[in-house]
Amino acid sequence: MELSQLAAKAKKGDDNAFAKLIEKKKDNLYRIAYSYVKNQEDALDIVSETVFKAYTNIGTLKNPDYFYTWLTRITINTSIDHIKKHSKTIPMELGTEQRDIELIQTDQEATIDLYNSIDKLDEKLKTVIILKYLEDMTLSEVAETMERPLGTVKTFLNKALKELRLTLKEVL
Amino acid sequence: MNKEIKEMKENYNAIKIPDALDMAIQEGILRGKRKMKKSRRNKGYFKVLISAAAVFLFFVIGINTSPTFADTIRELPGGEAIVRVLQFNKDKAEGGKITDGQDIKDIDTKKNEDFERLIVDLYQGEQAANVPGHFSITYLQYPYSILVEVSGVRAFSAWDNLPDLSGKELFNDIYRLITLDDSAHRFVVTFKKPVILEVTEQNNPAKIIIDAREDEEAEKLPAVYSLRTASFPLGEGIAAAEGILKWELASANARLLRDTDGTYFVEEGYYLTEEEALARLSEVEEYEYFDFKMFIEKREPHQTPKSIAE
Repeated sequence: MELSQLAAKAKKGDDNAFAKLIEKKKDNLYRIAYSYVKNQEDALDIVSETVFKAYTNIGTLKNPDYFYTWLTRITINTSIDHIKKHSKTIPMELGTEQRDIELIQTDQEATIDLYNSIDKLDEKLKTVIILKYLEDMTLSEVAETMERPLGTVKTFLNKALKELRLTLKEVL
Repeated sequence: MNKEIKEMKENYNAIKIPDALDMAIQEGILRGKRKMKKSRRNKGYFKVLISAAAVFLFFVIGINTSPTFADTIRELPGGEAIVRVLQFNKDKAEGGKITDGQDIKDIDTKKNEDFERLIVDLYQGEQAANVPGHFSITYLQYPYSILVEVSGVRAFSAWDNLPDLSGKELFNDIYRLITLDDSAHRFVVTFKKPVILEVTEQNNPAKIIIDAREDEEAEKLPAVYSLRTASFPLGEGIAAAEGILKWELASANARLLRDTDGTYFVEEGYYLTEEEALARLSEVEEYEYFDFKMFIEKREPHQTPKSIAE
């Protein structure tokens, strides 16, 4: 079934349709959340909270075609809220999960540094990087998700890339 | 940079998806379902509450302008008894004082020109008590009725000698409810028409006096869809159903009612549309610890509930 059809059904209160929609994107939701908090426990909390918010607010979704954009937006907002609320719990050292990545990527230190360095970006800039490069969205999809004009998103992206290069230079 | 971004993406895709993810999603959906149920239910009750509030408005006007209070004082024996007209706060009036060991000795009725009166006598041992035990009188609808609950009461002698209500214009029926608390007794008085009530607490001797006048300006209430059990003889089984609904299924309005055959049932609540009643029905049926078969009965505001066989 088409995504928008499923989303329309979910909007009308079809629980199965809603569950299917989440199932299709669950890995993406988790990875986005993980990119903000960098630990499994918090990322799971964020996904759970995102699903809860999506379930209770799906009635407010105007166009079912935008279900995933909307869901991604909820995930990002929930992640940022979570960081604000639990700012003390963000690990400063590499967590277990990060060590997992490190094991996979032992010979790609530069990548790990880049992945870590997005943490230092301002939230808006970080979001642009995650959506554009990690979630493979087009710039207009990023703009839609962030509810910002396309021009603003382009500015964010340029700024983010500039800062990343700077950070990378410092690391290297 | 491009190469680095490509590698970062590979890295991103390599983030391990934990098995617990499905559980986290399930938890979110469950929590969402619970919240939606709650808000749907609140919506239904809200509508019902509005109509209850409309009736309540007439109460207040009734209490403040009713001539019966003066009558009450005149008619009281001895003329020196202490009396107190109780105000209905929302749809409930409370009075009396906390005590124990009283007996609802007698319930009698009296017909006056424009109102009907119910008098409840309270005794302490062989003597009339001085002050009634703490009591509350709650106005209910579908059907029009009051629930009288008296605490600190261990006996209900009046039960064997209830007044005959046939031929009354307003009073329809009086029946007792089972109470899972041995220091309180509850009974219900139903009315044929919407009424304005005035409740008077009398001391020395202790009496609760309930005056009902027809509320001629009462708004016409719509028929409702009552979600209810089948009918049973009064017993603890049926009282337990009321408890489960109230405490485990959050049915704040669950109550015991008597039907046309004098048997009893528990009403989960009543709803303005059949749809709402059906929605709640499926929620109740989902709950595995509630094994009473439920029915939906359409009822007019003055109608005594029907007896339904299981």
